[in-house]
Amino acid sequence: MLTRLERIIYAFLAAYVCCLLGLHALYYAGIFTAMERDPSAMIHATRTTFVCIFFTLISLQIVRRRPSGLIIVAAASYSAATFIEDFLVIESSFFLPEHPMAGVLYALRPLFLLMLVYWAVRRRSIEAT
Amino acid sequence: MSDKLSKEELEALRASTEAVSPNSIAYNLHIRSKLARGCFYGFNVCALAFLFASGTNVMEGWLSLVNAPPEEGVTDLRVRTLLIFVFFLWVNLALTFDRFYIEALASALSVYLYAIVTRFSQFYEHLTLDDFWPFSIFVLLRLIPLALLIVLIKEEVHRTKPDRAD
Repeated sequence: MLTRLERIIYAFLAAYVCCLLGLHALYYAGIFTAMERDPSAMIHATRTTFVCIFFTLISLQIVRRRPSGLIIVAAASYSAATFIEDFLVIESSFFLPEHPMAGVLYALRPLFLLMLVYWAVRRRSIEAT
Repeated sequence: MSDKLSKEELEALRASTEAVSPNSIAYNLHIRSKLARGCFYGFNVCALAFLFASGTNVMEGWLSLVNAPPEEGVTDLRVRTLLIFVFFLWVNLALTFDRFYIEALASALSVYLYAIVTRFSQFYEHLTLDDFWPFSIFVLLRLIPLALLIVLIKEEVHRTKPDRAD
């Protein structure tokens, strides 16, 4: 069972994931394009798939009332690794700077990463006791 | 009260001082199964092999063997080497102090899966039938650490299970 704070974090993260996936869907549908040509569409498709898988797995575990701490830890590590990769290698990897919502999501990314890490630590500590 | 210790007390003291510290890799490996120990050694060998190989031109040589874009592979390699070094340290330190070990393994697995998938998706457009053998070896080399990680996680989950039989 999630605590109140965890539920709030889950709601924020769900909103973040939905916005992200919405932007990706609009981009793939050709509604709008990126400011710069995306270096690798396959990497974004991979990331979208990973985000969907993690979100689905965490939600399923919560619904089934099974331990979800390890999956949240894995999701937090994955997010941190892609964050590092974005800043060290792939420029404009978050590839929708034209849209105002993309700018907000881009700016809030470290905050959501911190929330995910906090949730992972809290869930593991709850499940370990 | 005499300052001298009896023979039994001396032996007990010697035994306690010679005992392995709980904060050591030897002790924490000893309390795990033989399979977990073997996989842990294998995982370390794979990580060290990658770290040594990434310092040489072996990777670039391999990239030229398969019909892949070399500039993408080389720039990616630095980040991948950094991440593998971080996870190598984390897993070893976590086992030494027996803290966050399973978390380290789960994190390593998720990032490694992402690395494999992005690498394959990066190359697949450029691969031809001539690249079959180099690419097969590449896939095999990638799958070995993946299998080791999965076995390590399974063993650790089994070990830390509250109601395990043994």
